[in-house]
Amino acid sequence: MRRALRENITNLLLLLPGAGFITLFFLLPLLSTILTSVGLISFTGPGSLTWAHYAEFQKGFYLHAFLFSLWIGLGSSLGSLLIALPLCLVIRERFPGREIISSLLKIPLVIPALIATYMLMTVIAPHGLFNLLLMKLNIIAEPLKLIQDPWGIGILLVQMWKNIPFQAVIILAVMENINQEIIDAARNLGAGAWAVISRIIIPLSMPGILVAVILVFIRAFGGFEIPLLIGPVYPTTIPVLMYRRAMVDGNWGLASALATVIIVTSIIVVALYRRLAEKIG
Amino acid sequence: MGKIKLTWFWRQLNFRRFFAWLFVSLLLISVVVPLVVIVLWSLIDPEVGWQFPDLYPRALSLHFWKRLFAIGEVPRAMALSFTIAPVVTALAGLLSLPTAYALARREFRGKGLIEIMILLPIIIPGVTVGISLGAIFTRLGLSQTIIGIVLAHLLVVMPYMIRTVTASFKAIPQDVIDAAYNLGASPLQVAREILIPLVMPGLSAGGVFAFIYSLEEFVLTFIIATPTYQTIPTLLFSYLGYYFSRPLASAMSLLILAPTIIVLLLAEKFIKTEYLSAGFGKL
Repeated sequence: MRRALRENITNLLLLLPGAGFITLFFLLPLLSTILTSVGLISFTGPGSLTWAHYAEFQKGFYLHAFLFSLWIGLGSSLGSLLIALPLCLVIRERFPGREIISSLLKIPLVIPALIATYMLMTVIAPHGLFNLLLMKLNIIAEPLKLIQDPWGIGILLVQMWKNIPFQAVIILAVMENINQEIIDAARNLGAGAWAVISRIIIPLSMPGILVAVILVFIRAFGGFEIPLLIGPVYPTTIPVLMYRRAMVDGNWGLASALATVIIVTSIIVVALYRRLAEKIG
Repeated sequence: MGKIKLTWFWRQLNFRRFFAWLFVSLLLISVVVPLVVIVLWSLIDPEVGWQFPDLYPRALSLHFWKRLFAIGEVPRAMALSFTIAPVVTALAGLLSLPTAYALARREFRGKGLIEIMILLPIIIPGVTVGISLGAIFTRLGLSQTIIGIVLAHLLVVMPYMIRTVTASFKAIPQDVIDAAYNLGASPLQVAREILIPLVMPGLSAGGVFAFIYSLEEFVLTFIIATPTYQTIPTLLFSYLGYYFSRPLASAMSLLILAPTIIVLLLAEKFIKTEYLSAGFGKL
């Protein structure tokens, strides 16, 4: 009995620095945000339960923002996957320069969102290098509107630029754990390269692929710096809307409600992932 | 004749390899070109500029780099960013060690819950807690303080550090620890001589994340520390808005990029990918 108690206390003490820190500085503000959204905490005076902030969402405006955020999330996530997956398949092979190329391709991973957006804006802006080249090669006559456009193409491009290496690293880690014997066995049974890829490598990499897609969706859905700089003024994403409501309007309640939408969406997505992951086993 | 050319062209191996190389080259170009463009923009000659139809600036000069360092805020922001990053890294390492040990090698009720909670900062975007955190910090008197910035950065960084160090701890074979105890080592000795050295890979990988993420952290720092303290990202943000100057913004960007890219390349060389991936890895 005393041994168990001592064990528990030791465990608690061990967990305190790391987990305790996160509890204090993340969980608490998280709960605080949710409570603020229903008025129980208020920045401007005593609070009382109210759904007024959520009632604001009836304005079509907010639905557009939500749909736009979903679009950005899915578009970034699946778009990056479209390129990251083939990239993993290529990088798996040994070829000269593999190390250097692999390291160079990881560079976007460490470039802050703000700077990445700024850099890419400079290149894909109407007067930037990209449009310039296309016009010089006579592929287009007028510059393409790639920034601040209503479909968020600019946002998608920056998100993809940053997230392709991110997904590739995750997926590759899982791919490299695939037992080589399975692949060899398949080859021995006469499977061609494409069959090996589609029947063995991709299915066995599914856990990694799922994680990659989920993580990028959440980051893109809840991303703030990128849409702020390169996104259209309307429609805009929920994080940017949140920022405007909080910093410009001073409407903390509404901003918290928007934040709660992001929180709930993220949690739902991860929960879905866990269900899916269990099914795949 | 035509048939032979056709079969040669469609021969599996060359066809696939060509597209693979094309694919990789395009990706490399998309990574390198924006960097080169920014470098060029930081080096333009103020007299000549970089006018629209030119593919590259006609003349280069160090003018804007000199001006960058002449602005008082820049060396201050650099000093702050590069002081905070190592401090955050060290603290993250220290704080995560006990927790990672518990998660990796001890059983207890609610372990799953704790693991989820540690994941939360990774799966829930930081902007959502930014405002509340700012309010809490203000109430605690931590707003507009360096300690506040350090705590905010720690928050962003801890989940990754805990994950990589936990992965490291898990990899230590129990036999080694048992052998040590059998030979009469005390827990402290075991910790010092065996656990810490064997956990270095996880600490290093986590340290790389910590350093890089601390340098680049923007949202929380912006909410908590502006305008009293500026880190390089928050300073850059102000230069992207009101005082926008492409050459200056470019030079400032490079101030952050150069060290982080160097840290990345060094990490690539010396740290095993398993640990870097564990930081991102499976949920």
